[in-house]
Amino acid sequence: VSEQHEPVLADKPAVEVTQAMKGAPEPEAKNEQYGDDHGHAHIPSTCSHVDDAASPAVAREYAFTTTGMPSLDAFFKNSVPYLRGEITPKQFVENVGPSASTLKRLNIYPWIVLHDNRNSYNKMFVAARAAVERYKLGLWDRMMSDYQRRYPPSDWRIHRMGMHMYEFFKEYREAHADFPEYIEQLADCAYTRGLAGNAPPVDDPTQWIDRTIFVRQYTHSVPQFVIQINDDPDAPSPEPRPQLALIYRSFLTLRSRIYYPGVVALLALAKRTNTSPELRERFTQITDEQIEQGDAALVEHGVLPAKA
Amino acid sequence: MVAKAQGAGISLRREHYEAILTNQRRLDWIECNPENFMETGLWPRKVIEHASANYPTFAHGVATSVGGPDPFRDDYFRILKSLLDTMNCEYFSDHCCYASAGGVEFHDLLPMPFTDEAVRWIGKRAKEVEDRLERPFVLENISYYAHMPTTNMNESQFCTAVLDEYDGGMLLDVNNIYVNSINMKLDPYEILRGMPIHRVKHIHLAGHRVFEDMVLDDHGSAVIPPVWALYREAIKLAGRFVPTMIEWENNPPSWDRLLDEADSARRNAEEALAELAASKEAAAPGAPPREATSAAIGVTP
Repeated sequence: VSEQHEPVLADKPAVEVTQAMKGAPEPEAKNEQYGDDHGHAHIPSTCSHVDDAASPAVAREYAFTTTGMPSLDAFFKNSVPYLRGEITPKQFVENVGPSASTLKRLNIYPWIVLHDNRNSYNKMFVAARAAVERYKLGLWDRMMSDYQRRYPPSDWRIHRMGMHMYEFFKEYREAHADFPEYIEQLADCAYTRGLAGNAPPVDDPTQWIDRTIFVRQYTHSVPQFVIQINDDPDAPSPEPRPQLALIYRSFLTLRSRIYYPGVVALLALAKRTNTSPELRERFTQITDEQIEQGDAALVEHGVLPAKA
Repeated sequence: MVAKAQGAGISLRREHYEAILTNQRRLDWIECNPENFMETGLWPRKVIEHASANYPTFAHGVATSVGGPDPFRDDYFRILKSLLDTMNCEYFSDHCCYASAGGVEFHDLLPMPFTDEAVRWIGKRAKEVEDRLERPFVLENISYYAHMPTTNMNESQFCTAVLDEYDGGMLLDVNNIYVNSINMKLDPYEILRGMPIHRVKHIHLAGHRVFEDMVLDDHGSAVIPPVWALYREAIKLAGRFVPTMIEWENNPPSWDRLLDEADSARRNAEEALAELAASKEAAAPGAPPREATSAAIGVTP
């Protein structure tokens, strides 16, 4: 998702010079979590089998590498569409060979895969899920079934299962005029928090932007909702209020944090990361001393490390 | 120095990151899912570095997909090896299953067909894992809920054949044997005795739950008495305190409760070994040791 956003630093900042000079941090939720863990199946408490999807399964083409063993090749060639609900357990057995288990029992695996993936989406996109359910009760599960079909997980990093969620919601909004715009932004914010928190160490300051520090311009109070919904399921929905945010991994806590920068803080960030030199030229009225104050504020909140 | 597993340990999860940093109670060793510490930022990495500096720490993967058809992912193995080197892991373990196929990552542990072809395929791939990681690769028997098509051998035969194929070590999950015995209507003791006990490097214990007409391996509760009994039998069969790991990852309990469970493992293992010694002493020369049975401990397969 992040790669698809234009760098905000290259644009004219929405916040004027007269506003907060240092910026402000977002208080973190008590139940902070921005991803799912690898591990064993998170088996849900109810079983409705795999026919509760929003749209019928459509067989896809998958790229298989042969094992050189005919029976095993047939197994894998059919196991993927079976696990993804594109063929039935009956077809799976007919195509591969007999099983000592009943078809009902064989249906457990497509169900586990569907529900386990959905459970991961639920954990990764708590705020987007809440907003979708407020928009239309019951829609979330159907959307996640569609998402899973359109974007099969292809990365061993579990948090990257959500990498297409922003564009998925954006496309849905473009087809449904009353679907709130902020939902795709909630997805972006949640996914970006995961990216920032999970990123490997980056030593070169010129590489921090879009790796461990992300600059986001939202149309609504999206970060606040992403934080609040963790502790309060009745948190008010995002308000239409332009919101500039830094989503970053704190140099102090090593965890993902959000900071609302003023222009001075943005200039300090641009200076340290050697990003968008034209930004400095557009704000000549801001002194170097003020930028140093902005830098100090970013250091105080762990956005930047203290200067050597 | 290479870390050696011994005694009773726990599987480390996010909920206990803070606790492991300040732990004062007895804890013999730690296991972690390496995927939760690979490219997952500095905080988890700092936690695992601290843990491995203070306890023998082992990595138990969920994403190797040793049985799968897709080529191994170079980036996964590069990062994994770096982590294993940092942790000084003696060996690396994962599940005897597949987790990806046709370019799709299922993030689940999926059973193989128990066939000769699968045995040869996993054996070949397991050797490649060992070459890439430059350390032994240990395979765990998984829980499964259905026989995959073309299966023509039982679980014990399959696990034995796979491990013989590449001469590998086994991670014996006693709870998985129990879960499979209920779901497949088999005797858990027969499954256990069919396993290559001499290859077992360590043991997993976990909770599960009943769901409709099945038992699900959800790692979400305490170990139940029939699984403890099966565990004691496994220790007797091994004739030694095999390093044992408590997995309680879903709905994880408090740190103290988790360590209580590890204490229970230690106690059960010591009792089993005492019983074994006593039975050997009492037995007439040449008499076989009395075997536990499902009926004797109240398990109905």
